[in-house]
Amino acid sequence: MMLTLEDFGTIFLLASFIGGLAVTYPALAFVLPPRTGERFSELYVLGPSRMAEGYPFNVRAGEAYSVYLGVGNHMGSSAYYALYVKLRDQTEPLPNSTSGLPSPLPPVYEYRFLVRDGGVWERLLEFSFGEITFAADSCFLSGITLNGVEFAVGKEAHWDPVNKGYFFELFFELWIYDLEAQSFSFHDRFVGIWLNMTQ
Amino acid sequence: MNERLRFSVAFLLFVLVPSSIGLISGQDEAHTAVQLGEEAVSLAFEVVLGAESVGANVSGLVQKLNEAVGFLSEARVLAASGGFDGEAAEFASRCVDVADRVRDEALALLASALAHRDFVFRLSVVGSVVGVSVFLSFMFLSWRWFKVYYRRKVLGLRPEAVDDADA
Repeated sequence: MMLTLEDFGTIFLLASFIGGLAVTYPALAFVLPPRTGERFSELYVLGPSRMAEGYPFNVRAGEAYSVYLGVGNHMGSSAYYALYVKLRDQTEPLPNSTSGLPSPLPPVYEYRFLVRDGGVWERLLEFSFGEITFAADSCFLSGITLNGVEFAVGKEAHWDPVNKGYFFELFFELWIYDLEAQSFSFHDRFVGIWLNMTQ
Repeated sequence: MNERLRFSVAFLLFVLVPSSIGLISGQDEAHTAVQLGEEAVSLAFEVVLGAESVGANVSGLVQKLNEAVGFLSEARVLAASGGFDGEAAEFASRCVDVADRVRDEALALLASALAHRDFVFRLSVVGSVVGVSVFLSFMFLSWRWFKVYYRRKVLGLRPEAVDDADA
């Protein structure tokens, strides 16, 4: 099969169009919307050896424990985060993932930091507990020390007959700064560790 | 007795009221300082994001602003834990200093990034216009040459019908 002159004319036209686009691409790139992938942030907690193991579980008053907290930014630009540290017993509410609402509990401690796109923020959180008082079927926690600062908490945990312990959860909520609202909003990311109070 | 009671009340008022006023004003001072720190950081962050969106390299500014945010966090934690209002105000004031410096640097970077972007855009537009003209002229000339070549080489090879009636 032989190509006719008209066929060659079409090929020339097509090549001219594609070549023209390629030549104008640097200028077009200014007006075309930039490519965007999925935008998200990651939040994680690691054990004291910076691995996903060895998390504190059975804890006592006066002993020091630690975990690593990490946040990764994949939002497409630098982001300003707040990480709230909260403590709850088994009856108190966690954030609601379905409605995207944070836990109504007040934060005990907080971190604020900026992370560049593609960057990771990581910090060691050291904590210990103040006086823990045990009664018949409950345990009262007076305070917690986070990174050397003492906070009064005054929380009570009841004996859990199924899991056999007095449990509190230390959990971490990630909030992100919203430029339009000029305030932090819950970023729908949280993670926590369960702690069993022992004598 | 009555006089003694009056004296005691007056003494208590004399001692307690100024100290509680001092305490409240200390808390207010810390709260205001923290508020100012938050505003300074959010203003600086906005400008840094603006500079980043036009292609400026803001890694140094983000690092410096993180320093300001660290001071702000310290101030907030100390103010919330109570009894450290002086230290909280001090940290908040350091935060404002650093955040203001970052905002000024980010504004300068934003202006220079915008000027650079504008220059590159103009250069790209001129380059595109010239490039497209040259490319299309080349294609047009090539096409003309090709047409002549095609007619001469390809159509010239076609066998012609020979009239052999005379033979």
